[in-house]
Amino acid sequence: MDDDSSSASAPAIDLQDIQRRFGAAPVLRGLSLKVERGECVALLGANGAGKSTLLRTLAGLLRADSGRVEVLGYVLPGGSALRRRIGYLGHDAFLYRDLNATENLAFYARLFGVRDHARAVSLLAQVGLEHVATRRVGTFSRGMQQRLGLARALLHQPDLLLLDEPLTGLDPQGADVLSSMLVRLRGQGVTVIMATHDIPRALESATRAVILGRGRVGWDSAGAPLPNSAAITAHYQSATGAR
Amino acid sequence: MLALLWKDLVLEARTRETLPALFVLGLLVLVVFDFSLALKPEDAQRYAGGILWVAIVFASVLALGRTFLLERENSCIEGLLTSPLDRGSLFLAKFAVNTILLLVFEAMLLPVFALLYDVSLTANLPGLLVVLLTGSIGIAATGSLFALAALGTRAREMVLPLLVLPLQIPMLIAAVQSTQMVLGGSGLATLGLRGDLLLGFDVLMVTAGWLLFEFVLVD
Repeated sequence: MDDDSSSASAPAIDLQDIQRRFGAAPVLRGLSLKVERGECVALLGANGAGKSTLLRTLAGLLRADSGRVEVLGYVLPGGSALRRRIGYLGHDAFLYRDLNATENLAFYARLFGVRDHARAVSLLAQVGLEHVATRRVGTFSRGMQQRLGLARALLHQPDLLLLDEPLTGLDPQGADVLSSMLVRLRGQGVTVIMATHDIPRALESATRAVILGRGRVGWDSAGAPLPNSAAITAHYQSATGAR
Repeated sequence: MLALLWKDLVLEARTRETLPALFVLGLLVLVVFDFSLALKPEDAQRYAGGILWVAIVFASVLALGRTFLLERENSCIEGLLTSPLDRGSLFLAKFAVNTILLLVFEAMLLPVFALLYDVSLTANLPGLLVVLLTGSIGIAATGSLFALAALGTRAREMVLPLLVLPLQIPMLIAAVQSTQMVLGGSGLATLGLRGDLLLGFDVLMVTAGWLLFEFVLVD
């Protein structure tokens, strides 16, 4: 059943002391974070810092062992009304290899109740795949699948976009497309959380950087102008212990 | 739900991965029993129903195991779980696809079955179809519910039959006996408790799957 407690004034994300273990291994250890609507957050951190676990928790794919997770005013686990407002691109693009690009988008459009066929066509053009619209996804490169995955995640015009290492497999042109789309989405008031290792690329669209270290927020640029790439790298090394 | 049904049927039509495998396995069971038992025509009615259901059940394990396998590729299951589709509808769509696949498989198998076991289909067809439909619904419902649970385990090919087959035993006994009766010329009205058990099992498992699927999907 849907919890219809969403409030337009609530932050996009409000996490309080969330913990999550996989077996005996703690991944999120009392993580607290608040993200306002319209922010574009670059989520940084070493491998195993908890970036993907955090995004999967926000997408409703994982449940926190303890703590409070609030997304777009809904306390998780939210229902289908919340899922309708979230776009999620994980490590995989969630595409069917034996359907073509248009069919994949048409399938997800029906799941999300998107009736505007032109929307899928327009998104295919925006991610530069209109020339392979009728080709089966199984023949696509990793980067092409990533682009189509991005179009899939944006199909239903989500209020919150969660991207887990979206730059993986993208060529420089694809990364440019992603950056410009994120800047445009930011202008439309969409909240974006993007986990990535590519700090310079992330800064092209981000309004805020958050560095996770050992399952907690190790550093957060909130409330201050976003520093340059070198300064963030220094914070990264300090927060994660990386050299 | 219809979108999911459409997608699964299109993928099966394109890849043709499930039905040919089911047919070969079903055919193999029928042929092996035919040669090993060498039934006389007068015994065929007594044993043929059981043999037909052995073929269906073995083949169904293969089909049901594949239910969520294609959703695992590219983590498509996560695409479904992050969509607004409610979990009960996801179960119903998978259940409908499995029922359709089983019925198509049975339609392919029946002529071979009739030929090998000297069974007259024309005389008994309506009753036989009803029994096959109710039995297939029960098999598809249990399998659709547990296929996802088995998918999360390492030895999923082993786990699914272990979960599903014991649960199906009462329904299978009723299905075998009902098949023997309709092949012997009895009407559906004479099935009595067996017919009630088949229908009751279907209603119970479809309802349980629809209500419980949410809990199978947690994490």
